[in-house]
Amino acid sequence: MRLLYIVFTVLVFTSCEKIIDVDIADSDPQIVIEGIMNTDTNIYSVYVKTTVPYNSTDNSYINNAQVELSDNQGNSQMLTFVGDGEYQTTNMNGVVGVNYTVTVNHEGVVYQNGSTIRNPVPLDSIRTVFIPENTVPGVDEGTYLQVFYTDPAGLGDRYRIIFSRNDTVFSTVDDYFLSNDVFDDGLQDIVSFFGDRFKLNSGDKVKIEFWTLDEHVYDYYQTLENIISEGFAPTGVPDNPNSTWTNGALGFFNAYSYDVDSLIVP
Amino acid sequence: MKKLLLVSTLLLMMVSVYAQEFTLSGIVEVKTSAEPVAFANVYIAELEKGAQTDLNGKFSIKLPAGEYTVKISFVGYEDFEEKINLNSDKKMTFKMKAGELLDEVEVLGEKDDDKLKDPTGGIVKMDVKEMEKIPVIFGEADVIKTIQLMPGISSAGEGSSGFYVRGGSSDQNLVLVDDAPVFNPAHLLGFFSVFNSNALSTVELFKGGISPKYGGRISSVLDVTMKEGSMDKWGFEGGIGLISSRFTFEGPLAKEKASIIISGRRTYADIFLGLSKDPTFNSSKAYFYDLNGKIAYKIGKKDKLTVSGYFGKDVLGFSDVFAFDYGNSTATAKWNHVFNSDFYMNTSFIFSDYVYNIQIESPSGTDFKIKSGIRDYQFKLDFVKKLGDWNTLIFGGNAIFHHFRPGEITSLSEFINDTKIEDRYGWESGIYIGDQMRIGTRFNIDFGIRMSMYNCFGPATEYLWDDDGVVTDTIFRAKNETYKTYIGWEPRLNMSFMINENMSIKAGYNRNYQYMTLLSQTGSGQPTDVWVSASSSVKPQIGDQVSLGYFVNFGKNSMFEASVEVFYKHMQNQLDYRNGAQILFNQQVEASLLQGTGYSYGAEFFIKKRKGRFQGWIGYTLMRSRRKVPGINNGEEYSARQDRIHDINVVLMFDITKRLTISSTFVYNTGDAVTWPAGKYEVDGQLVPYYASRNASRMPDYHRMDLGLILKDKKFKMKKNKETGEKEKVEKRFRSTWAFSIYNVYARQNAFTVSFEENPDNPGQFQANQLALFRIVPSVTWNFKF
Repeated sequence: MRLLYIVFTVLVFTSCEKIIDVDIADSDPQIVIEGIMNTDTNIYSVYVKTTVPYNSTDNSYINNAQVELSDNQGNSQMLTFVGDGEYQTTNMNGVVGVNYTVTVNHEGVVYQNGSTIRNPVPLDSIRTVFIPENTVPGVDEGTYLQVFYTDPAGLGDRYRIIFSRNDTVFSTVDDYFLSNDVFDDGLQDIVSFFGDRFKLNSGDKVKIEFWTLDEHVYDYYQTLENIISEGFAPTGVPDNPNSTWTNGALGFFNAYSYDVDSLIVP
Repeated sequence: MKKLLLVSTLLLMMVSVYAQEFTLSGIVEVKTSAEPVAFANVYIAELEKGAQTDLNGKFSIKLPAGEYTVKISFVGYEDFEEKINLNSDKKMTFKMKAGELLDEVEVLGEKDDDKLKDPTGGIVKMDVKEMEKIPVIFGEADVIKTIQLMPGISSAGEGSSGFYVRGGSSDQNLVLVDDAPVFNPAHLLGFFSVFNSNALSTVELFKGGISPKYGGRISSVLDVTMKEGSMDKWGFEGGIGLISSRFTFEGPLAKEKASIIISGRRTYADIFLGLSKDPTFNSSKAYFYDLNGKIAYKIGKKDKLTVSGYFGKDVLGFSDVFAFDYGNSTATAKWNHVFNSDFYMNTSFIFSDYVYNIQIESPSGTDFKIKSGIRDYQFKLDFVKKLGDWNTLIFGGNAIFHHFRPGEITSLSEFINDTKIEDRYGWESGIYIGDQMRIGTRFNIDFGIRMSMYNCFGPATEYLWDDDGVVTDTIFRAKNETYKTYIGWEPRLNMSFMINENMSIKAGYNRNYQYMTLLSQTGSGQPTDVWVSASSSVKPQIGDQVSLGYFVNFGKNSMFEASVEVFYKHMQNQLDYRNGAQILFNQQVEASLLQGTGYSYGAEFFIKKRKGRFQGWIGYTLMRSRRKVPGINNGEEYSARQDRIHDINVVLMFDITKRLTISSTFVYNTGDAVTWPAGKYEVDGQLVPYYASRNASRMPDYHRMDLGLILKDKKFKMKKNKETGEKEKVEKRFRSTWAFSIYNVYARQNAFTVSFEENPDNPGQFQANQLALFRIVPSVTWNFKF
């Protein structure tokens, strides 16, 4: 029976992966604009570039654009080009409740995108939890982190969690911890960081940044994550992340507020 | 209504009355079981006139008074001959004896020239016996897997139970089991279909020329009938395979009056999982089971009642953390009444249900349950009236109550709210009339019309959208309030013309309406796919198809049949998704949908050797299927996923001896049309593919060869005759067969998915990672019967 089991498993359930060569028809370059800001006092950057061919090893920066940051309070400033498609603001900070707009003018085409800094939702707490052997399938015995927050009543709250351990920010394809209130509006929510990658040792310093996002920015991160982690959208057809830039530019502009907490694993 | 009246008047005008003629009617049954023999040929030798029995084994034929020889023939049975003297209307029962043939290779389920005369092009009749010889994955004879080997029909993916017919999508096929629709014909994510071959009697697939009695889907109809139990003696049948086993028993509840058949099947891969020491495996569950049952009861000579049902369930689970089950249930109660030999009626009540349940107990304590499904209640009435030997009128109608349950989340913890996506209700009804007749000796015509109607009714929250998918209005509809009505006129026409006794041409046109669409997450069918009803914002799909075919029989005893069919199909209101559509648990899912037009065209070439020790067929389909949906691909035309340009199937079967048969299938098709990157960029610290044109790339071509071997036991055993003391040959009651098969003999790694990931050795570069599901899959099944 044991032999049968082995034969069976090997023959039937051995799916196989391999790297293949594919024919790619490259399209014309498309403009990509990325900007991020929060409530800290800081110099913020907007990056402007284009897509490159599939096999290209180069970047393709746009260094001749005019980039402006304005808000709905009547303030605006032109950003300063600093090189490699990067444009910088003066030292400034974002204000909760204010809508910020980035306007990029490149060769006469204007691209615009806005984002409102929402009221930050505070973390309730972050805690470590010990998971004994064989209690949670696929999770080895060890110490892990759990994040608690309470969603304010009313639909439309959107979050992203940034996990760092010992000052290393987790930022791979698998590290988009996105959360919304579609199914748990007004309730306390727990986000658990289980699995090998998140196993904690005594003395580790863990830091959690808890971002409160504008809805369309969340939507961008969500669709971005679908595409880069699964290779396809929920409808089975790959598509570009949902950008809200006008004139078809790719990318996003995220103005957010956040809460932060950290602990040293005992 | 006027149009319908006109049509029916026209039809009635064709009623020709033959005075001075008598009707010979009867029923053809199996001698040992009284099970009706469908599609048997009844032939009056003296007049060279004939008829075919219907699904209930009945026929009727008008003849002038006189003496005749009635010849009845059907594959697998000894020819039957009887002299009769017809001087009044006569009703007879003809009993056919199962012949030696049953053990021989016999592919043809019909008379040599039946297919030529049948005005319907694009019809595929599967022979359950033949099906059992063709190797399929996991060694289980499977209707859907076998049908995918015919031209014009292709599999929706490796091992999938979904299929594409003539460039249509897989939800455009009406899959019926005893008239009840099956909403998800797949088990184990598609590797098995819901059809247990032991429980089946006839299988027909209409790629075109769909009869007006069918409605509701635009691409095809797969009509499967379940076997009736023997009315004569008890029988048992079963099979034991590596992955699943099945068992069937049948027999008389009352001799010659009532019968029962029950067939069950279960997989036991989960038992292997239990053997594993790895807790990840041994706490997992993965199995399915299904049950088919049918009870038939003859009430007097004119009435027959059958009640049949199907129930199946797939269970997947992972210790206490994750439980997922899904399944179909159907039930059909059918009353068959014969008014007289020329006129009969079928009345059916049909229930059909599909449901899936998910329960998650997460380690964080966010426990919840999900439930979603669809349920139908249907009443159906069909009449068949013979207007002459070669003129049959069919008419009737049906009404279906649809209950769509897109999804409901029940919280089992304090961390999640109950959420329910509103149910939807619809009435789908149809009336039809059609006529099949022969004009002269060469021309057959089959025409009719179906009028379908769809009503959306409350309670419902109706959303109206603008072109960008933004809600412009929200209307609350009260209970039973009809808020949207669609009416569809669906003309159907099929014609055949016999050029000579071995050649015919056929032409057909049909229009079909489809009032519900499956929102699929992958295009190949998933248990969690959701059916969406037509509504104010989602218009019903409309399909128009024209086809033309040339059919020929040749060779000694017409041992070969060949055909070429061309078709063009125009499809309106085809669904696609907006960028970033969320189709699960979305109250306003309709806002994520876009509708446009599609078309497909192609040519199907088919040649089959249907007699002799060596049999098989080659099918080749050249086809395109394209779409144009405003809002997708910049409004430009693109290939549908199922745009398989070339599709080749080769099936060969050879009887080495009377007991040993080998078979082989080979399939090849152009890779699916898919969307691949057209560039790349970096954003948010990630390497991201840039997508431009929809479905402009191709998956690698798919090809595969399977082998099968069937070894039967000896038919006779030597037994001592008690009286004479001599040894003699006696037919064995217990019979068994070994079926061996190898799926994917040359271990081709066919791409199931191709995903683009950042190359770990070369950051900033993508690599295309191909996943193949199977290498070689051997299997063995032991089948028995007693």
